[in-house]
Amino acid sequence: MTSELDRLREQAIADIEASENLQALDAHRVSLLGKKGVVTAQLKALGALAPEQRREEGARINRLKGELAAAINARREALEAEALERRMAAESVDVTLPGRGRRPGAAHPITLTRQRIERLFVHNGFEVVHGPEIEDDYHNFEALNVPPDHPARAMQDTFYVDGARLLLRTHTSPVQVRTMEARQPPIRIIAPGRVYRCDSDRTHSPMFHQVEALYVAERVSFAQLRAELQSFLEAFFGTELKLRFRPSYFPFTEPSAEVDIDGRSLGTGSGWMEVLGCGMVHPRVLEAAGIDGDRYTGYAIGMGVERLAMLRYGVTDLRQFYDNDLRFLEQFA
Amino acid sequence: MKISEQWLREWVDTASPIEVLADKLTMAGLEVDDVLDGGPALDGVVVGRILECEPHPQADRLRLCKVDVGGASPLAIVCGAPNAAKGLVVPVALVGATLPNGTRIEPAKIRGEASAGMLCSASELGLTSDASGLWALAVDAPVGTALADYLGLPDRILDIDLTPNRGDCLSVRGVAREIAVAENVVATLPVFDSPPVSIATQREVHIDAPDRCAAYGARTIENVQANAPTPVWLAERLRRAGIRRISLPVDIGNYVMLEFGQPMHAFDADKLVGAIHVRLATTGEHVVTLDGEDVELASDTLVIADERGPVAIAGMIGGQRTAVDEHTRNVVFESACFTPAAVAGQGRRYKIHTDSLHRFERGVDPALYRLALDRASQLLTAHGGGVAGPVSVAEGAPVSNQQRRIALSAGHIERLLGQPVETAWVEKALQALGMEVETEDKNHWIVVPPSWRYDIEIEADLIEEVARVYGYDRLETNDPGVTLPPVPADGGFDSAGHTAAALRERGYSEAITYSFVEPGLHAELTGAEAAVVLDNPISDQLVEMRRTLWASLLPGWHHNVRRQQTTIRLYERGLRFLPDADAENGIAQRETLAGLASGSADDTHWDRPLRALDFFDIKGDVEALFVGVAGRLTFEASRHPALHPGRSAQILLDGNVVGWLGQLSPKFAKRYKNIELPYLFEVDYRALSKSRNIRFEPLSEQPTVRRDLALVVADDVAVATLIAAIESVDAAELRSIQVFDVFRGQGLETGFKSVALGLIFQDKASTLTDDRVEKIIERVLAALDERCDARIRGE
Repeated sequence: MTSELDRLREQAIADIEASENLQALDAHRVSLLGKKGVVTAQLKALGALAPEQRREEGARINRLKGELAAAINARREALEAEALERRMAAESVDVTLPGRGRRPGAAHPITLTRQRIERLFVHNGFEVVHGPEIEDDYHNFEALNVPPDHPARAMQDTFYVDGARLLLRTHTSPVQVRTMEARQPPIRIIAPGRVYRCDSDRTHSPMFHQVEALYVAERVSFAQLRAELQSFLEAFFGTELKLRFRPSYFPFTEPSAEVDIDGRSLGTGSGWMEVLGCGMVHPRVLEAAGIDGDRYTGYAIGMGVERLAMLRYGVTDLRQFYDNDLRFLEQFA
Repeated sequence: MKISEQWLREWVDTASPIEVLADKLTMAGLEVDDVLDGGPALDGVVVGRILECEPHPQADRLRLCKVDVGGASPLAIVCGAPNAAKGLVVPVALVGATLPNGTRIEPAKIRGEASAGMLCSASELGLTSDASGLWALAVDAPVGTALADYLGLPDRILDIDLTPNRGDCLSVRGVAREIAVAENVVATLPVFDSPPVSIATQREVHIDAPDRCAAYGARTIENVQANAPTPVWLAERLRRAGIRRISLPVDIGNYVMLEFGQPMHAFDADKLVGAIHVRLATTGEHVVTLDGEDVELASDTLVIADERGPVAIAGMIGGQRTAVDEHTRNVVFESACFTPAAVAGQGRRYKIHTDSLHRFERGVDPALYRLALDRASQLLTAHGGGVAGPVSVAEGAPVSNQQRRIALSAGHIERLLGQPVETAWVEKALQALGMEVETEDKNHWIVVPPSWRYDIEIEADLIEEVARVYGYDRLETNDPGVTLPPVPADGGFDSAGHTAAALRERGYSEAITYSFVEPGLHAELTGAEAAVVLDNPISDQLVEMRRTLWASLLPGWHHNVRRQQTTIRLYERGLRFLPDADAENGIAQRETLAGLASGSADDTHWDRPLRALDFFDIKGDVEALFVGVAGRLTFEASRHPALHPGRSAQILLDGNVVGWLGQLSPKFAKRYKNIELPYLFEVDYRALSKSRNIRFEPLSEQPTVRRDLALVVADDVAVATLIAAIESVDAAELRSIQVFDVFRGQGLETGFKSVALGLIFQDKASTLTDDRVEKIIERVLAALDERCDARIRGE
């Protein structure tokens, strides 16, 4: 009897292990442990034995039943794991093939530069203000202390419109004028936008971009202007800079200065690079806008966005900004 | 302005090297663009005299010269210049010399004759452009001397870029004054004796427009040799300043202008008829200028006139009728102070710009004209012979801004600069600049600027002078901090670029194109609507201010097409300019966002065929722009001159037109040959700037029910009409409608299409029963039938 069970176990384990798939395994399970299985039949046959023998034999058959069930489970798990492996192998992809979808476009480098300038000034409490590009002479020149036929007009070759009744703004300063006309100090604004001058070559474009800043309040000083510009330019270029404030002339500021960066600070070699103009708002400009110059002072800053973009990105030909060649634009994505 | 270093050093005694002086001038506000060489290296070039000049036996145009160069025996030199002649004193490049153009002088045989050197023109020496012949030096030039020594080389030239306020620095005197302040020394005037008055001849002068001419001086010099050579030192100083030689009297006038800043004019006294009048031109008067231009004068133009009419446009240019020429024997020098207002705008009007006008526009020192007249007379009598008469003077009204007494306070200096400046230092600095400083009390002064400083008018001007002399870079930097209420970060007009970001995510790159466009394309795109036109366009391609951004985006698109780009997506933000009587200045300037796309709908991919993009791709891009925007977005088929009539739509927000969308009209196929025409959109930026107010809607746990309807309708019924019909039943349970198929062809009558719609229902409060849904569907079908003649497919 015992040896018969041993033979059965031996054969059953061998069959279970040899099962190639879940169906074959299940067939073995049924033939062994099913209602009509051989192990089940053995259990049923116990009834014919003496009670003493029955208990002993019953325990052995039940042990066998447990062993076989465990073997079947182990084999099933192995078969399932193999099947999963096979499926996953069949489902694998070439991860090096290109992804699907549309490549995003790029913002224009002038926009990126303008936004960078705006962010830094907005962080310092400046408000962004816009104005018209076709302007009248008053806002573009006269209110800025540039009367008709002033030699300073030759500094800015002007596009005229409608028989010189109007003009294309030569700077964004008219936005400063319009703002001062509309509000009283404290005023802390920047005016970004397109400006136009009747000039075109490798270093001049008939249209370009400026950002101007204006701060008018009580006791605004040249020392503050210097501090504001030092921190702005260092934040813009992300490095400590050696700056030079050089006396200059703009009709709308007094004193006026141009600001140069030591090329060595930017690693562009020795020599000073002019980056922007600035100064203390001319009392006549305040007066024209209806602001009390005895009580308030102010500073103004004007910078060319193209100039800063060229320095930041290493663009050398101004005209490339307006060709809108995708090979150029997509480099800024 | 260009100034010789040698000349400057005659005025200011300082040991500082020129580079230091250049830097100090720059930091004083006189930006030195460059320090140039005063002339080329002239090693091996000497002064020589032609002793003999014979024809070359083998060549008609060559001469054999014997030239004395100060050596033991004369040199034999073959020369081809037409003016080679016995007795001429010329530059000689000796064997071994290298000319500025690289020519090395070697012993040579020219057509069989030995030649040991080269006789030179000024052009061959790199000094002027005169290549007409040998440079004839003064007959008394020292033979054998190195030419560089004779010319006073080497020298350096300061090239200064002066700002328009510093007209007082348009002279050696002016720049010397600035150097003197920077170097803390005193500038010295050149010493010269005014020529004696030895004749009685005196030209009568009158100022008839006294508010435009502060002073007019004239002086006659008789028995001049106008064709006498200009001394080499004077000619060299003119050359180094970039001024062309004309004749001795004119050269002297220019020299005095460079020296003092006083423009001069020389008339031929024998051609002047009667008294000189400084007056306004009368209408219709003409003058033929020295340049040969016949100018019709406007009645507000100041002229110098004799009895016969205008002989010069005041301060600008002389007239031909009274010009000095080689026969001139008697000269009248003019030295005057015309006011800036008198000459303002005249240069632009007549399109004439002269060194004289440049100075008068910026203001000429009214205290200068007599000194200049004396200087010119002295130079002319010394180098051209002649005898001088007495000076005639007429005076007009003083220049308006010359009566200045400006109050200055130490407190204001501190307020504007952000730091105090020691009062004793302030006084000294202002005095060094030529200002008279009267002390009111310890902290208050009255300052009288010198006559040459037209630019000092108010206290701020004085404070700038203080800061400038103190040194901007020595001034303090400090920011006490700013306390202002916070402002919204949104700078309007999408400063942060959020709207445009939606386009970039969909593959569009940003373009920046010119706001002025080509009129032909512009007219075609807009249907020739009125545009704002530039008076002075820079080219015929950039003439009109765009009414649509498409007018400048299309050329940008074409630029890329021509560079083999197959898929192009561009957008731009900018203003459109629409003539509009109700807008400020008659022009509405609208912030606009526009874009275009052509090529494939998607990027090239290895498992998907490329599909050409079409109307619905770009419509999706437009819809993406409006995500989060307040208002109801709809599209309506409509015609636009730029667009394909069957593929164009108005974009509406709450029923108002806010833009256009469509494919470029096939009528442009001729202009863009064999290219798939792009799809375009343009949206009024303001429509995008109002964000939707977000109100949270509670989520419902109730299930949704979907019913699909396959409808057959006439081809020309827009899907929007079907949807409107469905929505007209006004069922609260109808949550949304999806269009999931549109089909034409097999199984359908011609002229009909099938539209498949998915209707999604939900009742937020209770479960929807089929029964309720069916009842709504019945009403929907009735509405579709009634409004659109639509029926269920297959029924």
